[in-house]
Amino acid sequence: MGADTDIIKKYFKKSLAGTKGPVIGWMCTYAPVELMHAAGFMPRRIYGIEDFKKADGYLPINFCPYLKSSLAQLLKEKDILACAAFANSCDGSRRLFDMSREYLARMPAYIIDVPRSVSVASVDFYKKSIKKFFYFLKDTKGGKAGEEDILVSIDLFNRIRKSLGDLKILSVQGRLSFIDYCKVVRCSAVSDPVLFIEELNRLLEALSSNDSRQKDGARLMLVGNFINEDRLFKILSELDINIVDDDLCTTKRYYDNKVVLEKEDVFYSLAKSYLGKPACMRMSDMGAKVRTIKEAASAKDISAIIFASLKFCDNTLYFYPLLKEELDIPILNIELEYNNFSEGQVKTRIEAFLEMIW
Amino acid sequence: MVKNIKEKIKKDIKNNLNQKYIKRFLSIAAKRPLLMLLGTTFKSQSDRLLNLYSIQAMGKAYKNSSPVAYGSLFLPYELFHGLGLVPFLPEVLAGFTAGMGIAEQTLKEANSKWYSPDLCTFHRSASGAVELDLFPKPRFIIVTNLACDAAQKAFYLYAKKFGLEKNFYHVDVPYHYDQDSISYLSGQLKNICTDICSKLGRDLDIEGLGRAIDYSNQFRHWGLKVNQTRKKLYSYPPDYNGLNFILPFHGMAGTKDAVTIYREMYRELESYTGGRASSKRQKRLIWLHLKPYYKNEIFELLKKDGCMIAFEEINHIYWPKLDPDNPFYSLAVKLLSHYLRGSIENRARVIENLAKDYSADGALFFSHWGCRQNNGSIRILKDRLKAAGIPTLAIDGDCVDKNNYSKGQLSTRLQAFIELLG
Ligand code: SF4
Ligand code: SF4
Repeated sequence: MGADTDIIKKYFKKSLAGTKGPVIGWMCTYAPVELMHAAGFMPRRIYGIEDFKKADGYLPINFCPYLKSSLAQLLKEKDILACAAFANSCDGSRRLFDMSREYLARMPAYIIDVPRSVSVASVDFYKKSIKKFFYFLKDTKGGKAGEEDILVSIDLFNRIRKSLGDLKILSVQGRLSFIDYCKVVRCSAVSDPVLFIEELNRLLEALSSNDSRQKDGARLMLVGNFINEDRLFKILSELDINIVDDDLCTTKRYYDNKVVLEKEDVFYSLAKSYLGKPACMRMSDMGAKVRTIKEAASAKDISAIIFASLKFCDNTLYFYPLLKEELDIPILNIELEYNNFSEGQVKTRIEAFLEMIW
Repeated sequence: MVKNIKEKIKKDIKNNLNQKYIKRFLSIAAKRPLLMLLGTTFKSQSDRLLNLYSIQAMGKAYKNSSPVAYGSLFLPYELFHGLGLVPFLPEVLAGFTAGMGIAEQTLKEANSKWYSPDLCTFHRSASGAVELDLFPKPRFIIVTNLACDAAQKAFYLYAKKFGLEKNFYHVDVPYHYDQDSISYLSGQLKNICTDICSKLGRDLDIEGLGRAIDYSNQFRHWGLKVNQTRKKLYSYPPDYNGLNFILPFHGMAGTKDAVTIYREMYRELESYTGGRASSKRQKRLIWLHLKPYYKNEIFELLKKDGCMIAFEEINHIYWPKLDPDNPFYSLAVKLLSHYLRGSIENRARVIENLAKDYSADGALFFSHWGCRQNNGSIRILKDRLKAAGIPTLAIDGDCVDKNNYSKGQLSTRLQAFIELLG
């Protein structure tokens, strides 16, 4: 949301403009973009649009704002999108898929069944699930895409994800702001991946020669769900703090995932790595999620956590009491609603929190 | 007199809100002579059996002499009974907290423990009760994501609270209904049962499971007959409340008690058929989702305005006959057959058919605050029913928290809706 800063305009013009192939809108980090790309689609993540009043007539007031703004986007862009891919991530996303089927019936859409646990059986189930998704994509698009194409796409997205990881390191070193890092990650999910990787690598090169300007303030971790709020990112960038780690649907949980080819089975490999990536709070083992956050916090010498959650997300709302109880470092909870964001208030709360901990 | 006894019980529990008192009350109330005496205080046979068996079931859970397992509402309880586990259903108990007038305390407790007020109050109230140590300590905690995300999360927190993460089982019900889903799900059910049995030092009792499934099939048989009978009723049977049978319908599936309740219910309802319709035909409504479990006037208002609930969606028997020789497969099919699984298409189809089968003039949709899966589907269901010629009224409210209830507002909306029905 909000205007793109120079970095996007300067580096990613081409990839953002590139629309090679029909566009598939996708949501949720458990939807394998590799398969969409291999089937000949141009994957574009659905981030939602700022003005989502239109969705009010379809979904209740106490509903995930991300999903509401995504519905508004789908209604607006129905003629641009050749197809849409959803995942069975939460109750809300199930309903969003229903909406697309009911009110955008002409747009082909698919919902991928994603298990909630990680085990031999669940990987096998997920493998079959994404295989069906691939057949759907092939049916919709036509053409002869096969496993060779998937391998090419896996390699491409592995490179993109690796470079986004490098970008994070540079951001922690203070070579680019937190907000710019978030914007580049967002850009990676809405632009032509082939062009994007070239542009990203160019940016990485330029940034590596920048001076490291690590701030003196507290080392913090940002944990949350679908946080795509530039106003929050801006506040965090302007304060004297370092966001050393960010466990969000929109950042690490999306790109921290390397697909390793195993058993010479592309679907198995994708299933295994997607279920093994940093878990979403939708997964059933909340204790494991808490442990990974605690381990990251201790390994990265993090002194506090900012917990940013979109309102009305049950998975996140239940996670917070557990995390708060289990943590031995301070945590600040910020609930966000897209149309109800008070910059002043949020900034004051964060500042007060920092004063307390630092 | 009857009312006085019940009010006194409520007041006593409210004033002595601790597990020891509840336990003591249940240990006395669940004894046969007192239970029989208590039984005379209920007006209808179905209500009597419902209350007696519920008290017995709760008494058993609080007594804790057999392993208690918490379960979320839509699990196949045949598994619990087949394995000799005593089920305890926090969501149902949350309904009781509303009925007993203690939800204010449980919700307050949940708030103080950082449970957001935006969460469903069934889980919030149950969480508050767990925090207040009002529920018996379980040995196992089993949950499913059918029908909502909230259950699996809330139950994990219970597991954490009781230090039972290793005895926490999540039955992951897939979105799609196909062979892959059946295998994945039946495999999970089998693993869970095997693990529980090994923790209890027992062999997996396949025969016990088969017996539970036999009972479940008998319950299903009488349940279908009950539902068939209700199609023939011209008015709502006195002292019957179809929205109250959640515990027997779910938690007792696989027991003889459920068979008895539904068989007796059938006999009772049959006795109301055959009468002639009164001169003025009552308007027939389908009730969607749950109801408020605290004292409210909705049903009186409906009756006063010449309406009857022809059927409640929650009583729809959605699963096929089960195979006692294939318990895991059958129960996976039962889970996957639920209309709240996956796409809204499943539920829409069921509701459209119910409206037709029960000659409905309209549908009432209780929109419980915090229930994403339900409220997110209102628009589609309304549109579908409208296309089928069935007007729908969505009532915003809360099933557990009475603070969201306003009689005046409700009455105006109901009247306007009923007028629309003609
Ligand atoms: S933020 Fe929560 S409710 Fe919204 S899409 Fe993600 S998991 Fe679902
Ligand atoms: S009312 Fe909805 S959110 Fe609450 S327990 Fe039932 S299905 Fe889940």
